[in-house]
Amino acid sequence: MDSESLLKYVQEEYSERIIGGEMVKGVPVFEVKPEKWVSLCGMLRDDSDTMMHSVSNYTAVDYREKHGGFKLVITIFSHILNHRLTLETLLPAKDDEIPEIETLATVWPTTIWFEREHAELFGIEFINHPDPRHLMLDDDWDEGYPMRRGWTGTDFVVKPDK
Amino acid sequence: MSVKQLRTEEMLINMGPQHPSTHGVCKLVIKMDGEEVKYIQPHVGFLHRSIEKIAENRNYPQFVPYTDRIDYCASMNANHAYVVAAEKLGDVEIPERAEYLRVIMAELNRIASHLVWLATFTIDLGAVTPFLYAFREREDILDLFEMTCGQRLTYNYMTIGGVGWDIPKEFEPKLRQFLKIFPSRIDDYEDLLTNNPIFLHRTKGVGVLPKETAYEYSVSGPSLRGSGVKWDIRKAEPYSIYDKFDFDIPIGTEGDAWDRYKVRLQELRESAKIVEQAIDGLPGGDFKKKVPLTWKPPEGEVFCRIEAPRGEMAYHIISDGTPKPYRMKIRTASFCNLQVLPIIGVNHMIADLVAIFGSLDIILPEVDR
Repeated sequence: MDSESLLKYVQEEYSERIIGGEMVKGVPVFEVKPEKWVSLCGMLRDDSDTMMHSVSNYTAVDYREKHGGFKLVITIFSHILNHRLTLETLLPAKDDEIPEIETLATVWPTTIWFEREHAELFGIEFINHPDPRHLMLDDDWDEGYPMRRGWTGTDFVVKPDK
Repeated sequence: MSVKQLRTEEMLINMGPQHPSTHGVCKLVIKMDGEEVKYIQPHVGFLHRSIEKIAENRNYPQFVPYTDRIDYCASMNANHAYVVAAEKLGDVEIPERAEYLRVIMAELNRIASHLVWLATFTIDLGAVTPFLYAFREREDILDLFEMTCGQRLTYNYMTIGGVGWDIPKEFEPKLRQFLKIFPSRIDDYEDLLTNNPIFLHRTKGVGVLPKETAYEYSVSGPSLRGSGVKWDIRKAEPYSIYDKFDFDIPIGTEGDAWDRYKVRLQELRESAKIVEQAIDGLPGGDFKKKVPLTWKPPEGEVFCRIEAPRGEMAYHIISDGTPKPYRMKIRTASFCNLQVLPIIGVNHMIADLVAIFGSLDIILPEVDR
């Protein structure tokens, strides 16, 4: 399916699960309701018209200042149909709050490591995660969540703007 | 000692973090039943430098040298992934000569990276000779890189807007000479290994990766193609000027270590084919377009992926209109490929685990970033 028809297809088929969809640099991007995040991903994987059985990238973004929370962004694609799309969901959080969301590990096992990384670096809790240990950081790390904007650790120095 | 006195309970052992066959700093906690592996838990993060955090505090052009350190065996491809994404973000058009030079360097680096893989993989299996042969050819490629950019490992060659330096006069004859002898050198490797009974015994049917598992763990690159999936981003979503070249995507059938070996050896030939076409068609003109250090891409985001030697390497860059990225996520192939090791590595002898780990071609700085 080409990008245009994919955008239209998902908007029509899954309209009650998404907030909006648009084309960004030739790729369809959808804003998903956080409570429908896992179910929509599962459906897109099993739908024979989308067949999104692989994850290209899965990331978290700290948008606390701009949108009042963290965004999870996942890019999924199909080897067989050769198309891809991006899903985003906003998890509201202020200051030191830790947002929660159901894990995607049940849909794509590859997200287990991605989510371990988001949990330790951004401070997002994934409910029912099968392996909630640290991935990159030490097990006894207690200096906060390094990838949050404005984090300053013991050795971390921000270069002044020129 | 009688048989009754032998201990029969499972044994937990640590393989690594400092272990020659983990190709970097990776710890595998393994549960063993005698010689058989029953459970594997990889521990990574020993090389974590938080490159993504560093990126948020650097200007876009300043970040290129950091990309070298993500995959030191294939720095050109790591450079390429970043500059393609940044240029897509800022809609930068680059001179055609630069595109050709990038493809030549990226494919040469793919060959060099596969040769390092071949060398270390065979060392893991106990064969020392192919190691020396593979490094002999890699040396020729490193010489070509050195005469172009002065570096042998971390090149910092590609820049946003083109490439850092043009190729010197002596580059082309040396490259042509290399391309002339290289196919016969690949035949040499194949003579040594492909039908070698010991090699077959160590790799055939070892570490079979079914297609479905590869899909759900997002395995990419030669490890995926070894399982019989015809998927190469250079063909599926052509970036740079890959749509101008004629090459094949080699695939395997069984998905075992031998198939992954065969796919990589075929890829050596295909990459040499691409380099030959690129050097034949190399146009004249500028090799870079000036991009200021305080280059500001417009507000927005981009996700761009390329086919690196180990698989899919992608950059997700979010710009807020300032000279520094708001967020940069680096997706690397080894990060996903390593996740299948606990699945395909169990119920094998521990010596086979070393072969499986080698056949997946994991590089740890890419996992940890």
